[in-house]
Amino acid sequence: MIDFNILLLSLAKIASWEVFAACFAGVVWGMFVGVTPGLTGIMAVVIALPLTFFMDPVTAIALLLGIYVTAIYGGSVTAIMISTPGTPNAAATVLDGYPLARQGKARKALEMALYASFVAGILSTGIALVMFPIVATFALEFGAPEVFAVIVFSITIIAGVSGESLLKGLIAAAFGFLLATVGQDPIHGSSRFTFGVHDFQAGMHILTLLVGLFTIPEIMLRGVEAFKAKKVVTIGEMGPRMTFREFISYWRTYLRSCLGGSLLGALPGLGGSPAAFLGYFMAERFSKTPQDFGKGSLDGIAGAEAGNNSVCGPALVPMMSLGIPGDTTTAVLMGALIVHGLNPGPLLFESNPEFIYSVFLLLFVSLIFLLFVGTGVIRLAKWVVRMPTQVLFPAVLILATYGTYAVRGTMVDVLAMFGVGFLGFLLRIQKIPAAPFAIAFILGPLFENELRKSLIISQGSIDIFFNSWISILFLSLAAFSALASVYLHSRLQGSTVTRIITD
Amino acid sequence: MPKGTNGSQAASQALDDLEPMVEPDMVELETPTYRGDVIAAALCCAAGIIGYFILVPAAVYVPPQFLGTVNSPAFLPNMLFSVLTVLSAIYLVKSVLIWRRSDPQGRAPLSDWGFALGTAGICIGYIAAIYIVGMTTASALCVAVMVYYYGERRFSVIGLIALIMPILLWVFFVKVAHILFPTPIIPFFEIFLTSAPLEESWQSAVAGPWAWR
Repeated sequence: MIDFNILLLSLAKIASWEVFAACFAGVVWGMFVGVTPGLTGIMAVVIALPLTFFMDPVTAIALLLGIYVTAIYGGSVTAIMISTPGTPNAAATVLDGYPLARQGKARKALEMALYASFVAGILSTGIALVMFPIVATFALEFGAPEVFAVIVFSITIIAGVSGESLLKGLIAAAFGFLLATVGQDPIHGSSRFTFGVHDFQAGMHILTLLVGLFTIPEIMLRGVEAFKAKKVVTIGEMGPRMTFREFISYWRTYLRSCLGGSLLGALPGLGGSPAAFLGYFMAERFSKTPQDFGKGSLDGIAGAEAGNNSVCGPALVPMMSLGIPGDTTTAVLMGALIVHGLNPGPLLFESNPEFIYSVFLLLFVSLIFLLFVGTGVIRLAKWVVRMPTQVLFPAVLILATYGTYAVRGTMVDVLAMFGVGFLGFLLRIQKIPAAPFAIAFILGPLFENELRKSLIISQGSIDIFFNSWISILFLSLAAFSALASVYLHSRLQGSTVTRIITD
Repeated sequence: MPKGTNGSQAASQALDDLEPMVEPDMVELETPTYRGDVIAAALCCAAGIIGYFILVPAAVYVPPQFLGTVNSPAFLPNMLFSVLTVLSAIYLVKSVLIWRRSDPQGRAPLSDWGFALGTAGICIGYIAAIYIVGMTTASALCVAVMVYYYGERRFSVIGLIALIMPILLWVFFVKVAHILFPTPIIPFFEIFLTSAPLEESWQSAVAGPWAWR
């Protein structure tokens, strides 16, 4: 539990203008990177890392945490405005954010994303602060079979609720997993599906897939719309502000996504994207109006944004308490701590507890700055909605191409982005959902690693997945979720057929 | 047959009684159809079979000692292609049954398909142009063509966007972020830059505090 004496000491440690200025600079830089497709949060942290070598550890971590927190939110701005997730964490926000922008409710969508991020960030940091020792111990229980079981559970949920048919969702997930196998085999390093192209050895980058899957189909379809309209078409209006009543009405979604995101954040290796999808689909499952999801639901944005931002605090827990980073960005943060002579691990809490509390307090400060900077960004977003589609989408195409190329500096990524985009277009017109495709691709390497590691340990026996209560629990939940999806879809299908016949 | 009528009269009467054949309405490009489901399922099924029997043996190297074990690099791809084939086969059977039982559905207008394919064509042309004239010039050409294709007819607007956007992106990515663009066959933009007489003055004006290399 919290030691308030150390907490006060930590508060005194961060209360200086240098720390606040560094944190604010980090928030501004993180926002800029977040809204620029192709520039990822990790890239922003890496670019800023050399600057921190000349700072004291607290100021350095203030700058990096400001970037870390804001880049996650920043990605949702372009996701909502131009259907291009600025960062992989914002992929789930596109599903409802962009339809809302097209309905002339961009301001509501952006405000919901900002406030949900803020609320979930504050709650999850509070959870991380209080539950720090307990969560760290629980995370130690997760071996290969348990992580595999969690992934199976996530995929079943996502495939089940992201479209009109569980079958289509599972087919999309299979494609996502298959695309993730391109590159080197994680165990032996032999090439798979690279066809002699050297740049494919490292596999396809997440951002290449996400930009292709969500941006290119949108450009092609909105082009058709603009062509048919034969007049200047804009995305819509910024629309009215979100009321406090609307904001507060989704409190259950914030809580659910925050708990789910905190749990996933504390598990090493999963990161923000799965948490965003988990939050989104939990929101859909518990919603009174699930039919609105995918067509512009504030609940969907609340779920996704609360999910991805609630990862921040808990992801630092295994990093600082066990020396195991929760995702790639926290791995870089860990590197920064090591540079400053602070070795993350069980001894850090013993030797420097006020630093650990300072980190969590700085997360709170970053979130408050995020609220101010985010509000400013929403005001600027009106220029995007006023831009005619005829001009906006060609510009988005160019931006997406530059962004994809910039990730690794290779044209192969650009080719892959357009390839995935054309496939995404075909999937889209047949309503084969993109979400299971994307999430399976993101989790693919981990899925394969954990599955094969487990089977190698058990010498090919699947009994290993039924040896611990955690994996049994998650596999049972996965089976239950699949059966529930089949049942719910059969009911939904019946009602749809009835409606069509009646019409 | 009613009294006083012959066979041909009855046939023509029966034809008159029939309601005229109603063509189903056109649908939006984004509206899924049962026929489309059948085609998609068949393609997915074919992808699964081709992947399992052709792609994996051709594109995944499996060391002989790992053949058929979980250690094999082909373990997961084979498993996934099998799952894809089975799922797609179920999807195919289901789609065919629904398609045969359902009323005729409309199709998306061919012009919509044509326009979407035109956009795809511009994208392919853009990629080719990047290799030939470089990223910046290709982007200027692509923006100009695409904005015109999407219905903007004011050449001042087209020209302005085609000029400003690629140059801003070039300044940001090449000069600020130091990302190297691919070397084109005809380095048009690069030649223009190096031969510009006022190079240094406008470079320093644009670059500002950033070091210009």
